[in-house]
Amino acid sequence: MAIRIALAGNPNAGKTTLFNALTGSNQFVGNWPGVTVEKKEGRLKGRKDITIIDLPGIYSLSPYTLEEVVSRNFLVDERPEVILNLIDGTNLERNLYLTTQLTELGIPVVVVINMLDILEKNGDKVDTERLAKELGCTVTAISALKSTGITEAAETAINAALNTKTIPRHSFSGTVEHTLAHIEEAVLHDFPEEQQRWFAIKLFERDEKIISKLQISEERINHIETDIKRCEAELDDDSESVITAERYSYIDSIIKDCVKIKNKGRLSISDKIDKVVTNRLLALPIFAAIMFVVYFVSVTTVGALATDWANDGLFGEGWHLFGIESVFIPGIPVILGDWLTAVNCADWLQGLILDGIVAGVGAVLGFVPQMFILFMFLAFLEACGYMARIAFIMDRIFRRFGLSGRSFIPILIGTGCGVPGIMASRTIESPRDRRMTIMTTTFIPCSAKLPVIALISGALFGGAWWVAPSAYFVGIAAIICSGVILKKTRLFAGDVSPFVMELPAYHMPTVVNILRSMWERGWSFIKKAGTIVLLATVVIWFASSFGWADGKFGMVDMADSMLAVAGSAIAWIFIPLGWGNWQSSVAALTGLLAKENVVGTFGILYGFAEVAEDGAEIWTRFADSFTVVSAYSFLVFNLLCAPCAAAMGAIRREMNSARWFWFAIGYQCLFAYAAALCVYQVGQMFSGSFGIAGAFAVLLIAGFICLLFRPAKEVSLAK
Amino acid sequence: MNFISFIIENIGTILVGLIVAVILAAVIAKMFRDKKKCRGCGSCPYAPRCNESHEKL
Repeated sequence: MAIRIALAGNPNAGKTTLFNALTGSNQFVGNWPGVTVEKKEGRLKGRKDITIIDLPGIYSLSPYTLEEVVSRNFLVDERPEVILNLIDGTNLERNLYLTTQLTELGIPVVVVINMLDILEKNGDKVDTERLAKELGCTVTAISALKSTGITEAAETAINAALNTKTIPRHSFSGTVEHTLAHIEEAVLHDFPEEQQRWFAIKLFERDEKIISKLQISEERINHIETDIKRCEAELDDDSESVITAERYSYIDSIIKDCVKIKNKGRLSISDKIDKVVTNRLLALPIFAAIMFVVYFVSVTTVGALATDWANDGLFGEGWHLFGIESVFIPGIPVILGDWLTAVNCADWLQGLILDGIVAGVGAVLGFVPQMFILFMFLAFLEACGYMARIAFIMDRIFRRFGLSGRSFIPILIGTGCGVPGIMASRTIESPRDRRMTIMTTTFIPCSAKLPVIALISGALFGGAWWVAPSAYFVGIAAIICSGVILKKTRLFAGDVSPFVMELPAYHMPTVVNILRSMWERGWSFIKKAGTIVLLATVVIWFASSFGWADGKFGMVDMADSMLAVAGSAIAWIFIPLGWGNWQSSVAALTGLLAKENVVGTFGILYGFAEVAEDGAEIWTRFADSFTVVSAYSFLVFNLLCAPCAAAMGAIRREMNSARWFWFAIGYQCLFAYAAALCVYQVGQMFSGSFGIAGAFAVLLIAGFICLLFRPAKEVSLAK
Repeated sequence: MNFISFIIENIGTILVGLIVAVILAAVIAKMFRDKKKCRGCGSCPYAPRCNESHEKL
């Protein structure tokens, strides 16, 4: 018999961790509420007839949020054979509210208490047998993170699906029960017996979605309305509040009987940490320090060492194995070059492979070690629970500038890749806030931008400590500035949506989880380098090697190539930004396909492979065509301008309007241009140079300051 | 005869060219396959919300 086990529970209870453990999947897990926004299915390991469904986290079966609607519709309409209700053992009171509703659905329920290890560590005890008696269903305890007790939980669920029925033991006060009985008799007597109670409660609560789903005649609605009103008058409260209050008083009684808390009233370790890291004064400096360390270590110190090996050794001349002088391993370009010469391959094809593919893809892959280190740090911060605090901390700042902390969740996800970041904005209910989040999410440096940051930092700034972290803060500043600018316009004016988020308990993530998260993100970057970047390098090599000379089309000097001609035609646009040469213009343009292409294009145009073969210092030719100020301006432009094609596609889908899409792309490009112009022109002023572009930059800065202090229009706010 | 000697003279280039062509074709095929994996808006619970973006600028 095919069995469907639905995983239901509060957000951040560990459902996806359990889902991954049961099915062997690799769904994204994060230590903050709302990671899962749609249901996912998988097969139980070793049992193809058992399907596990991971539902979005919900606090109740009331249709307040879209996640609740998704989960409720599945449970009510699809009626799985059993519900595995995962509850957070450290917060039983809140979690049991959903449990009391699930037991009324008439579907067998198995309650699984997660985070057992944390409970035991605190010295707390839960009497699972007594809890099972009180709730009328099986109760078991696990630690999803440490994979203890999960097989038993799955077996219990299968047994429950085959053999048991869950009969809710909880009864409401006499008046409510009397009204529920009336509703069942008047409207629901044709329904299967086990479903009548839940529908009766929902009708009592006047749940509009259920009323329309059941297609009850107006006459019958009026009939039960008389009963509900009588009950409300007797209890002096509205029906929904009556049910909520009675559920909580029932839960209170269960907690008293079944749970023994050792240190009642004392601050938990999480509370103690939060007193410091979310402190009004210390929160921001701590956040800045943490992100500084993350980017500094990833790009400048440990990451740079690994990347130097990859660039100089693996994609360069070669390296000495473990530093042993006598054991020299040649690099990929050397091995490939020798082989191509040995098989007598034509020069043009050697050029395509070595100067095109190896130079372009190799230049991008050379930064993989830095990326892995960054991903490891980000995975740790996500899994331990600190990232959720950042959203909370940033809400205070963002709110002042017209943005909600809710917008920070997509931005957090966007540090890996802009596409899921943009998609995560779906959870924002206000259309204005959602659009603004979509437009600003890609300002935060995604993994594809890291090679650009590392290249500029290493080649132009000698690996200066501040360059890589500053890229992250430029992204944050751009989001805040956009909030200031956009909120003062008619399109985005209005009150900021409230932001409520449960802060999860801190916990030490497992090494396996961190490594898995790091590998998944890193592997997706490598795959991208092997697909879209590879194809782009072939096109760029062709365009930079072929052209018209003496009236004939063929291989030409790079300066006469098609790419040089096209690049020179647009290079003038970037002269005020300090990098008006055709190579940089072309690199910025190819970055619109995939941001890694910026580095790949430079690899081809500045002869990455040749330089590496010569043994000369890599990227020196590249560094010669920039000054430090123009390089930073180039970095700022590429960090903030329109994202890659995939992210632009996501913006198009999420905006679902061509006008809004072009507005977003236009805004991002203009914002990036203005920011890079200000960086370069202000930098030039320090060296005593001032021209028309400088005056324009000063005007832009003055205009922004005016916007910053201009109050929002009252009329707009009223709207 | 000329054709055969051309093949023999350029066998290295032809083989390497074929390998590169196969790799590029495989990459393009993979990209198309990945694109097809998207199940579309029909499977997305948030699809109704997308309509909210239809408001004109």
